[in-house]
Amino acid sequence: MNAQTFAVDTPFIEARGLTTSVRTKRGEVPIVTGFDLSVRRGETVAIVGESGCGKSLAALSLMQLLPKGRARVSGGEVRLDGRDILTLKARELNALRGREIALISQDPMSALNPVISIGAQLREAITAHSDLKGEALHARAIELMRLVQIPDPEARLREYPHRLSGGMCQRVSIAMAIASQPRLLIADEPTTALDVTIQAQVLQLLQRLKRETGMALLIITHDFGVVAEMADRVAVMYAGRIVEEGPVREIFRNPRHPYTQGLLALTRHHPRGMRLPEIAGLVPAYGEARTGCAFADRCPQARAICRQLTPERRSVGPLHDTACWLTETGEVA
Amino acid sequence: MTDVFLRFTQNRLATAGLAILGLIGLIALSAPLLFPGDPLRIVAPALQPPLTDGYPFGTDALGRDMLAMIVHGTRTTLLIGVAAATTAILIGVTIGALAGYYGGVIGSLAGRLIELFQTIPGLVFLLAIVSFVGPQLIFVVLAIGIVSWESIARLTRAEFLAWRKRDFVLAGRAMGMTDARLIFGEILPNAIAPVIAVSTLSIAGAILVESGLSFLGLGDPSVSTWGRLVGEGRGLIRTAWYVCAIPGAAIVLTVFALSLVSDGLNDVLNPGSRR
Repeated sequence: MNAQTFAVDTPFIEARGLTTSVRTKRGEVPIVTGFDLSVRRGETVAIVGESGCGKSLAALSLMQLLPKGRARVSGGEVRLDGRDILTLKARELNALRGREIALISQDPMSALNPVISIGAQLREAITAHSDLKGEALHARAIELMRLVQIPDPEARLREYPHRLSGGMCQRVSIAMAIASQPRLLIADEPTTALDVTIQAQVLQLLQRLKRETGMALLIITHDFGVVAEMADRVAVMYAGRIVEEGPVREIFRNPRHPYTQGLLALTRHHPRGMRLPEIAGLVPAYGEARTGCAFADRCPQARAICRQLTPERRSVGPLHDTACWLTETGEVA
Repeated sequence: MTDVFLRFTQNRLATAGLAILGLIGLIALSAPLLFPGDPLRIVAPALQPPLTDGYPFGTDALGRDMLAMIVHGTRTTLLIGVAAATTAILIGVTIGALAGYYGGVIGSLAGRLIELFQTIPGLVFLLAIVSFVGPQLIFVVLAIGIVSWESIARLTRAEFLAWRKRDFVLAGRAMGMTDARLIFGEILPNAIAPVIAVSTLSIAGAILVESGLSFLGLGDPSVSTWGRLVGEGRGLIRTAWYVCAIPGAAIVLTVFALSLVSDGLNDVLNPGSRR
């Protein structure tokens, strides 16, 4: 309630020092460490990183959707409108999921239940947070199908998921996610499983829904193209940490972390016939005892201190910060 | 659904099984019309051989009409089989779902419970329960259910383990659905197909177990099941073999038909051949 009276730029959701650990045979291994990120109302934020850097796990932590018994938040806090959601009971969480924060996942085909009709699934999603019945419920389902631009919604509602294309399925799962008008939609690699022409359509759809409903978007992706098209701000993750965060234009124009610089270099156009550029080396394995910056072994500019101490995030410009020793001493590439 | 039925009918053996079961069901339903009055009353001289005038299956040691007893036995036998299997399915699906859906304490408790029942010899446990609570029909049904839910639970657990990791379950959680809604509304419809196939078989299993119990004379004495008829005839097997053999054949036929249907269902509902 006090959130309404605050300025628009108070964060809707804010993670501070979030640490998420996964249970393995060798004990608990932290996968996401010291994760600080906030999303304001109506804002689009992107988390970028390689496969396995912990970006999906971080997103699931924000909704308390970690697989029970296998992963847990082991430190830090997540505040939603000022409430710490890590301390909420199951029932309070269920009241908040879908209505405050919603999620769409990577693989649209498996995001829908194969043995339940589209209509029944959509109605389930609607009634999760409303008492609509009969005609009104059906009308709302049709309205949602129109909102995600599915042609001939009446007929589609009677279909089963295997009769729909991947793009269609993704639209249906978006419709289900926005059924209770969430204020934040987390999209985990929303276009990765789709082919290129459909990708653009789904991104446009998300943009339009965001404009029409005023919800905030948190997009998880490994594709800087998606970031450039969609996001206001971007956080770059490496080995479970955010290494750089800032407004999209600023990051594209003036990347400060060597990892961001490397990733951006990969997205530029390359002359034909040349070997595709890469960032040398591999992402460090989890559970390895590690001192210093996780990127040091692959960093072309690493210095002695990089292997000894983990750098803290510090500001390098308006709203722009990075965790890199090079920026501390003013030596920037 | 019609699709499933069409594919089922393409399997000739399964269709034959279904036809036999239909006939048996019809006999069970129309028993009071076919043989009005008490089937256990004495109607003729004892031990008339089969094909005697008016008594195609002959009479037993007390002079009761074998055919009337078999026809009425169909009712009780099927009733006990279906009711006991239903008990087993309810227990098995619930515990299997808990074991498969939940990790942590609930999951491992349910898992251990399944393993515990796996190690108990069914018939001995059944005899123990029935001799403790008494042989009334309802107790017999419940006891058979209690000793035979474990295989259904193991299957349900395996299905739940496979389905709970799917994105649509995560999506459901992300929408704020409760665990109960996810278990019954989302996962169970996917997991139920192989359970249905096995459940058909567990009706057959229940019929066999009940027959065994009645054969030993531990069934409900106030109802006549096929197993009891076999049991009562066992002393006469050298002189009047048919008193045992005819109800025995009825049991074999029913169990065989149920197996055929279960196999057919398994083929049709097998997730590998779906979609």
